[in-house]
Amino acid sequence: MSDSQNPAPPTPPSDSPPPPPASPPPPAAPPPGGGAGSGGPRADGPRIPWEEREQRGFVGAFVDTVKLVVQQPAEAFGRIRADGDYVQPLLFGGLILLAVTLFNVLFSVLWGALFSSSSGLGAMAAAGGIGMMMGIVVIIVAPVVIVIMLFLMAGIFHGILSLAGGLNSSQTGFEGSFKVVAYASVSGVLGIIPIVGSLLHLGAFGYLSYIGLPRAHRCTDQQALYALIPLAICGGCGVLAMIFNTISAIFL
Amino acid sequence: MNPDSPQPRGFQLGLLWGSVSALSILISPLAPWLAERSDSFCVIKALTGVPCPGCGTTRAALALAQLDVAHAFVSFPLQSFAWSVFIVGGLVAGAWSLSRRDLPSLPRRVPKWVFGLAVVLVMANWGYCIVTGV
Repeated sequence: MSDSQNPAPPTPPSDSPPPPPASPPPPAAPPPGGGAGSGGPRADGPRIPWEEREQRGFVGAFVDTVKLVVQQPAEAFGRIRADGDYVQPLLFGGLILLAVTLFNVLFSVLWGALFSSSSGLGAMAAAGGIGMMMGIVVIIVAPVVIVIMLFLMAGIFHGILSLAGGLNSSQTGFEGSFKVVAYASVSGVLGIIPIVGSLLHLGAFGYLSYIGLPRAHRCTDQQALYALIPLAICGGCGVLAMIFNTISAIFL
Repeated sequence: MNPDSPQPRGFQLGLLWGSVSALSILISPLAPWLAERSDSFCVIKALTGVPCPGCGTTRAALALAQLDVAHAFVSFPLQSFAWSVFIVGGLVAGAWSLSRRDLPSLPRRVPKWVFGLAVVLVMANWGYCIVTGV
């Protein structure tokens, strides 16, 4: 809020006590370089809908959060605050990534059954058995792997921002990096698109992180870009590997 | 958070980290099954014949999960060290949080010597993996 929006109060009589301040002190100065995160996390104000599930309900909070992050990512990440709560963002990102993983496993099993060399009900039944076994394993293993990946990604972002000086003005610490990663995981929905879904997922996740990190840490856009370099290299290799695997599985 | 009983700093983080470490240990018997079906490959290695700095991370985890510690550390030393730090660190952090003590906070800026040491370690490990043919 700028001072020009708060007109000066009328001058009180000389024998009255000094007036209270007309407005709260202005926010901290924006970071050098014109970073997108000049607003920084707000201590009060609206919260991310997912963190208001008691008022909005589970489905409503989920849908509202997805819409907010997709349609107004800057506003969404500007609502991140450091309150020591890792469970709620973890639940949000974990649910999306787990659903996408389950979908992809079922899709690949069905795809394999439909286009396997042997046909008929026997192949379908075998595929169903394999799919059920894979589903059980995925349900057991995937949540642990997803949590590890979320923390790992947040750790990479946080470490590079620390090296680049992007945390000098941060008020959210590691929690801010983790929440950006968790809420940006909404991009995982794109992963259900065959062949190019992982590439789209990676691109959208990088974009949302690029928007979110400056908001969460008050760093510059350039520092946020530094944090995305390992994601671009390793993620790019991983995506290429998945595309090669998919193409070879289909055509070879 | 209940204002009457404030949580220590990093309470949830410590518990989550500890839970993930404990769950990783619990599901480690699935490692042989996963290892048989692991078909991941590295694009850099496929295209150039040279492994990337991250090659071996999954195999290190699978080897450690099967308690083949010697093979893991001989074949993938830094990757195995990182996984060990993650698992042991998580157990320590979880126990630390359960004892209602504050987790140490991370520094806002990593000292340059730490960054330099990390780069040297990664490069040395990469060279070792290339020479040993990982």
